[in-house]
Amino acid sequence: MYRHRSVCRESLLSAEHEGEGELMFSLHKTLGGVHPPQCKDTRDCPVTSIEPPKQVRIPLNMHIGAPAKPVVNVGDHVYIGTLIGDGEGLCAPVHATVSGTVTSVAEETLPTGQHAPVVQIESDGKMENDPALVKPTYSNKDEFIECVRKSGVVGLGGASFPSWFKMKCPPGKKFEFVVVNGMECEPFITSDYRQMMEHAERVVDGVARIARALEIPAAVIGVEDNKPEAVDKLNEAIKTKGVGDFVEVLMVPTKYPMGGEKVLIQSTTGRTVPAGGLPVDAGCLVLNVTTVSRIEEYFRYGVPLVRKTVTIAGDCVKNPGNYRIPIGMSVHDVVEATGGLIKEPRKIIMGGPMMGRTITDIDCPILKANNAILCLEDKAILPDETPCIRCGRCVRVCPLGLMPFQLDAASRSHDVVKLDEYAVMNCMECGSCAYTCPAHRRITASIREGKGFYRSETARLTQPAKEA
Amino acid sequence: MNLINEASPHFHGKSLTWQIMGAVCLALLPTLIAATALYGLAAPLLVLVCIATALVCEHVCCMIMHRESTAGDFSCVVTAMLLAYTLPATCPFHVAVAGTAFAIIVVKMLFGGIGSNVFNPAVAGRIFIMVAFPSALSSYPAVQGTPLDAITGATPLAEAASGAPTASYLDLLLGTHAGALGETCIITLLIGYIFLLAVRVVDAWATVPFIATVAIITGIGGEDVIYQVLAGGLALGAFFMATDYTTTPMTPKGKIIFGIGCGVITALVRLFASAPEGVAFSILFMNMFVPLIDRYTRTQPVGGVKNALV
Repeated sequence: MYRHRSVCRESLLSAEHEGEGELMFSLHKTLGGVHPPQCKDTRDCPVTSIEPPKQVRIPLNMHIGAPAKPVVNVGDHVYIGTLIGDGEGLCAPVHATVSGTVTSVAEETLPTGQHAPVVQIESDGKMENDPALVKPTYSNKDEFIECVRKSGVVGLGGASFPSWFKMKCPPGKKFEFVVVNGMECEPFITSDYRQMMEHAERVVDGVARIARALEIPAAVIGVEDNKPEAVDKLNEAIKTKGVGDFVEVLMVPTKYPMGGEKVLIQSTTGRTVPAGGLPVDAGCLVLNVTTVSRIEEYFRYGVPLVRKTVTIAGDCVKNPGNYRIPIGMSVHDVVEATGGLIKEPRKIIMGGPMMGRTITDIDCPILKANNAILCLEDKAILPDETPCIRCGRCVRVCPLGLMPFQLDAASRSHDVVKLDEYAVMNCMECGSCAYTCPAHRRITASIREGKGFYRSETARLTQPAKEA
Repeated sequence: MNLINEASPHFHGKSLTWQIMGAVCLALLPTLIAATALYGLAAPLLVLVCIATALVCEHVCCMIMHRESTAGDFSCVVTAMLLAYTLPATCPFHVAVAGTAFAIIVVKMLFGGIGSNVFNPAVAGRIFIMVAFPSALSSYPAVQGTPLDAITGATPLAEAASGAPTASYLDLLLGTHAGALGETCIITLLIGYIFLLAVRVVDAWATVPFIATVAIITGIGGEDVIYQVLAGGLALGAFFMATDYTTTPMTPKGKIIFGIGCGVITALVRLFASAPEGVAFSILFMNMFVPLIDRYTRTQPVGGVKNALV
């Protein structure tokens, strides 16, 4: 870890270092992990556009933080890229994704269970870009971050944390690395892979731009070794752009969850994020490849985040592939526009099979951070739970060194002390434990509940009794 | 559309409880064949009696406890086979039935069934028989075809304790000496254990320290080390009982402590106690410490722990 850091510092100091021969980043060992079947049959499907929808429903809470407040009214005419929602603080602006008329702005309960304003836009079929969109310019760090904010980009790997907020370095801390996540370790999903294959130079330009603008000395793009073509493309782009002295691609072994933020930081930099901390505590700014690519797209063309590349896959889909989809289009419309279903699915999953969320309402809209829709028939039906046999497989596969079976037991018995003792909040819910459990226990689901219980209990226990 | 709403992950790995237990049964089969060759048809018959008893007991217990029956997951078959393996082939059936019933009903099901028992049911069952039916374990049949067929022989450890070992190392490896039906043939036990290691059902974290500790301490005590390792129930215990999931610690560190503890007790019993054999006692004794060992050999969370309480 320290050896590596010193090499990195040297590389900054010595002007003659050209990034050739000497590598800044090396692979570090990470704990645990599992090897689910990859199912990446859509990897060779180029991203294609689909018939634009007649209407989109855009929720204003497609990010972690406060929902944006609507800035349009019913009857307003909007273009692609017109701002429809914005807010203060931890929030990301939301833009119209089709041109047309706003038909409704109302508070709704989303399929995720959250309440948020939803802007419904009826398309005029022209799909015109907002003429007011201009290429952004910046001259310093703060202006750059404000530009990123205006792009509406959030963590597109699935976490949906506003990217601009991540880039604001808290006082007293320092970013030393940009770590770009090109792992895509979830089965089925290939949208990041297509991004790297089709827009490698944009990804590399984006990484270089972010690193320069935020004055971060080194950047690494981590890619799993099941995508050697993507690594080649990225390396080629790094060479042509001449940014090899501070941007590097690191190939890491294919293992789920290599793309988990903490695991990614550990495997590429050898550092660990302290419990309860953020990547910045390990000196890292972590961004997904697609996030980087979208940020670069905004700086190049001025078009904010209005479309998302989504992998449509699963055994029920007629034409699996990667599609460029306007945000806010309903799952039903998307599936129909790609050719429909060949059989009735039992499970529709937004995201990958390891961490994705099932939906029961197919009119649910595509959100900014959605990267896949999986329609599965029987592949995703899980057998019933049987008692834990204490085999220890969950402990062995936990990438964060936790003891999932203890957390599972503590969650089920609502034992807040034991949850605290076994570090329940360290869990990132990657699902490796439940995946590997021979008794098919829903360990991850139970720990997730345990986290909720722990949060409310600790808040209650540590708060001084006011009402007494 | 009738869509299922369920929490992630939506994929599941391939290993299942019954497959793991089935693999252990499979690993125990070569030894059963060897036992049949060594001690005749009485051996497999005794094993079958134990298995049948275990299945019935487990199923009935589950019925009484209003639970879905766990008799089909093979875990009680593993218990029954292990228990039978510690008995002489000439053991009366009613004794075997009583021991198995005790193992399943009292040691396993009363503690909550699969995954919740504190003690290894097979070992506890064997000790129950030792206490309740001492005569059944006092004599061991000699190997078939020896000139003194049908006459009982002393086990190698008993011989060693009395100072006149007659079994050669080869006898000990092949099992061609008097002993419990599944403890004697080291070769087949080793084959089964290597199979379990290969399919990654068990690991060697407890087994190796167990055997090594016995070897070291008995060596220091002036005994023949190879003889001590090969004779008695050490192989069966270290390969199949100290690797039981439920009754041994969870982490490699804990397993090493467990293995060393078992080894120390086994060696001390063999050196100083009046009983010739200590494997079963050592495992049972160390079983009690598993929660404690587990507590102090926890894995370290990556990034440390930020406790809100305590």
